Amino acid sequence: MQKATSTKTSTMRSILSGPLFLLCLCCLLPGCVNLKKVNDYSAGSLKSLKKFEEIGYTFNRACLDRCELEQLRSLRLRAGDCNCSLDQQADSIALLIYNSVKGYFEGMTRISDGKVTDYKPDALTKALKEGSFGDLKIGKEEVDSYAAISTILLRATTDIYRKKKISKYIEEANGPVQVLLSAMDFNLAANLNGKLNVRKQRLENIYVSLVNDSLASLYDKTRAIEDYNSATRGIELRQKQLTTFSKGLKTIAAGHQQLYDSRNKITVGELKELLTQYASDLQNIVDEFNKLKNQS
Amino acid sequence: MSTLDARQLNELANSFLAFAQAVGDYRYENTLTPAENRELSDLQWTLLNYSDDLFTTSAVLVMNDVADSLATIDEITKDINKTYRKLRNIQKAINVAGAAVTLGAALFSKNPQAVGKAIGGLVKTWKEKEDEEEEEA
Repeated sequence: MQKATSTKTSTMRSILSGPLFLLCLCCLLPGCVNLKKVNDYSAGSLKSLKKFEEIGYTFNRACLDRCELEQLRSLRLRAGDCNCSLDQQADSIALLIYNSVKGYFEGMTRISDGKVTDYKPDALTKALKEGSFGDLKIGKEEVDSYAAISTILLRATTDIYRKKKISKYIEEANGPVQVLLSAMDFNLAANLNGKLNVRKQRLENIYVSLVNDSLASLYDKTRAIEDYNSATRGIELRQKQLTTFSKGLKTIAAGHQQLYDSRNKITVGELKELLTQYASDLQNIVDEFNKLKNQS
Repeated sequence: MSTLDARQLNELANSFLAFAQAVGDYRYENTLTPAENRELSDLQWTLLNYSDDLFTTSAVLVMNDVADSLATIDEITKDINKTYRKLRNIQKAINVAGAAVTLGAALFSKNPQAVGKAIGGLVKTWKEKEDEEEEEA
């Protein structure tokens, strides 16, 4: 009788601890997302997104630069009134969008991280010592197998729960995420970049006058051209940063769309491959951004 | 103006920029009298001011397109964080259960000293759980 019970326990243990059991549980899911890959993608997206804080150029900065150039052009010693309230408002909107999208990806990164369900059953195993408790006798083997099985079951159950939740979040968030990423891209790559183009032309406007000035010496003109080139290079570097950041936003959006499109259709292997590609593209974009930052 | 959206304002800003560029090119490529030069320079500067202001206005108007999405994503993020807390609380529940099992074992052993210690352990674990939950909230 005792032998039969022990065999049963051991078979049960080997079934429950086997990877096949977990695989079966996972594949029962309607939206079988790969948590590790979702985590890599979310963490990569977050890293790329956070480069926003390193762009170092804002609508407000553009406004202040414009006022400085106005002062220079009119050769006034004292700066005139510089009202940048609308540009500050534009910055607040960019920041609001950034914080919302960042919050979402931070949450997704945390919830898809394997560590979140890496429970430590130490408190229970320490409490469950072998010995006699009234009529109940607990042996060392029972204590060990209880701890192993409970951890595996707990992890499997919570992982299924997580996968279901993540599939639901991806489904609900995809529309808003696409809108917000596109708006952020539009404000930075189209509007802020546009303001940098305006600045380039303002500089040209001022420097053409200097170079064409018949009273200026050859030395003054040469210095003016050097200054102009240096200022233009600075603007172009900022524009490259914005372009790189914009590439990152587009990659994040495409990755999320891919997750959404394939949440119920393609196999885990295919999804894994696709998300690996997005995570690697995002890393390349972050590296490219860092290189540009080091040049400035 | 009120009927234009953010994208249309951006297009308009780019049109003014292109116009300003054409004026700048003309000024650069032709020999002009100082008065003509000044006049074209002022014209280009004014066009650049329009373009600059339109880019900013376009960036502000984006808010109209994103208000709903911002509200939705913030709600989803709240839900994600709630789920995360729930998952983390499982570890706390394990710790509390462990303390309760220790108390059960102490009661079976009929050892008053062990019972007192186990009650203390359970209260301490429970308090830690509550404190952490308060911090997270």
